Formats: sequence, structure tokens, C-alpha cells
Amino acid sequence: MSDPSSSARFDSTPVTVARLGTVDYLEAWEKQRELANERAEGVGTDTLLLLEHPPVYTAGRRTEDADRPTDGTPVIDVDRGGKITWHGPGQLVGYPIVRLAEPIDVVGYVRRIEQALIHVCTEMGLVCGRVEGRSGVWLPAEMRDGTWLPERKIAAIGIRVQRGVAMHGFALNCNAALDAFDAIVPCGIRDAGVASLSRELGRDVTVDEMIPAVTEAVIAALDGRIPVTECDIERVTFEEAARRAGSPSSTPEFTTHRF
Amino acid sequence: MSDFAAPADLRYTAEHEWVRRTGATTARIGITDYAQAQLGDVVFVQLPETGSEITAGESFGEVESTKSVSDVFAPLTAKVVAVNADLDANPELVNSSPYEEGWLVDVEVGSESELDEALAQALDADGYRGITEG
Repeated sequence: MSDPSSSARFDSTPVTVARLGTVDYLEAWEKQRELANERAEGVGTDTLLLLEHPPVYTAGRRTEDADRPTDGTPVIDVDRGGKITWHGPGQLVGYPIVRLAEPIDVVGYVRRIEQALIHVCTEMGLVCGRVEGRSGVWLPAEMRDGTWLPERKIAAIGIRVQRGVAMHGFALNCNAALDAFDAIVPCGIRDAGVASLSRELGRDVTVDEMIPAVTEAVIAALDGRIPVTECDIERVTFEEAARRAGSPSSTPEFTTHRF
Repeated sequence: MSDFAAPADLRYTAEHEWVRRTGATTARIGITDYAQAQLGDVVFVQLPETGSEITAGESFGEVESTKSVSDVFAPLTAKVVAVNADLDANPELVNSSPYEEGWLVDVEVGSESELDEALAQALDADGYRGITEG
């Protein structure tokens, strides 16, 4: 495996950061492909696209019919990893288009992106980390004010590596309205939820507020300046959380994917 | 030395595919132990249909792990004569047995000399290990 203290990038030229505002999903996807093709040909520079999307559902190839929206909302089928997710206002989407160092280490690359987002969320005061066998950044299950909160994803990650170039990327929920996730099974995981920085921190956390920290952390992680650590979250059952909280143990009710 | 298996009787590509000759004009293709390790837990494999053509250097399928999707590149130009149907239900075979049960496709080329040439252009095990060690 590659040395986590060295760069995950093929070359050392600075990453171009493009803040694009709100961009239609298909338009952004086409932009990614253009940049990825350039990088595969050895031209251009690695680029971090930072943007928001108008509301849209996107589905990776493994998305099952049962995971799709129940209300007939259109879904864009995409070539990234993962299953179905939602993008929309209040969610910071980052697409690092990166020519990867050789020998290519895909898992190492994804772990660096995860680490960058874990770093950012931890700096914001959240306890978060990875869940084995899943991608993204997760908050541990907990009993809060008598309410059972299952593991919930605050940042989703879906990557494609093509001709040595990584594309697609991550989505960090800042102040997104999470009710859009109610219509789907996010990432195909039925026993978990989604979270946002705003909801977890109890204040409005905007995309614009998070862009500088996320930009810095992603580039630092890719270049090996933020070390990749294990930081798996503690897996807590409802019964264990109830015991710790001193609450009577009764079966939790899952009425929504929002937390 | 690399910790990853690279059997001496196979040929390899820089894109981490292996080729095993199975007959005068036939071969089996898969991804290497190194490749499966750096992809992570494989959860889905997309392969071409039997009877389709694959072209050397071009993508003929995809391997998806819990972390990402990556292309699989054809090490030679050939016709697909069989695909590993076991991977539909058990894609993790690519991780647990990349050189045996986790094979991807069986192919047939136009002539024996064509296959000779394609295999000669591929890497041997030592050459491949050199790539994985950076």
C-alpha cells in the first residue's frame, strides 16, 4: 500500500480550487469528465470542484428498486461507487479530480478524503469517524434527551477511478433540509440515518462557512499532511445506549431517516 | 518484496490484470491480488456478455467495492466465450480467490500466434512485482 505520509497525487503542482456556486448535476458531471480526461492525458492540473446542486437524487449501479424514491421523483443513474443519495441546497459537494500516484491505492485515496472530512467535523466539535464496510463519515449511535439516534452519515463519499484518475467525490451536509432523504434508503443502508452540521451543532452552518476548512483539509489529506488514522466510531446498540443513559429499554421506533 | 501473490505461471498488465493461457487460442483473465487489496471489499462486478468483443487497452468491465468503482482493462483483443457467473452472487470471490474462483472472463483470440504475441508483450511475475512496489 502507498505511504500515507506521502502524496496520493501523481504530481506536486498545486491543486486548482474552483468554487462554482450552484450547478446542475449533469453539467457538473460533464465538467468532471472533461477534467478527468485531461488528467488522464497528462495535461491540466488536479482540480477540486466545490459546489452545490439543485435538488436531485443520484443512484450508483448497485441501487435496488426498493431503495429508490417512492413518489416517482426522477433519479439520475451515475457511474460512481455507492447506491442512492440526494444532493441539494445546503450540502457542500466536492469533486476532487485527481491523477493518482502510482502504484494506485484506491482505498488509500478514499480514506484520505474521509480523513479530511473527519478532521473538519471534529474541529467543529463533533465525534465522528468511519464504519467498517461503509464509506463516508458517520456519527455514532446515541441516546440523546431520551431519543434514540442510530448511526447517521454526515458526509457521503462515492468515487470512480478511471485511467488512473479519481472523479466524483463527497457531499457534506451543512444546513441541508434532510427531509429529502425520507423518500429513499440513503446508500442502501436501512438501519441508519443522515445528519447535518447545523442539526448536530444547533446552529446554522452554511456551505460558505465550511468551504475554506474543507478545501484546506482535502488538499492537506491528499498531500499527506493530515495522517490517515483508524478512527472507527464505536458501534452502540439501542440497549447499550439506553443502559448508559439510564433509560428504560424499549424497542426504538424508526419513523424517519432524518436526525 | 511485495506482500501480494503473483503466480509465476501468469502474465500481467500494468493495470493489474492477469492472463492465464488455457489453450492454443484461449485464455482466462482476472484482476490481481494487489488490485483486489487496493480496491477493498468487492461488492459488485460488471462484466461483458458472452460473445462480445474486448479490445486490448480498453475497459471491458468494472469492479465496485464499498469504497469506489474502477475499470477493468482488456490485456488483449479477443472474443468473450465465458463469464464467471459465480460473481453475481459472490463478488467477494475476487478478494478471497483472485487467481482461481474470482476469475472474470474466458476469451478466445483469432490465432495461436496472436495469443503468443499478446502474452509476450505482457509482464512476467517479477516485472509485475516491480510495478506494485512502486
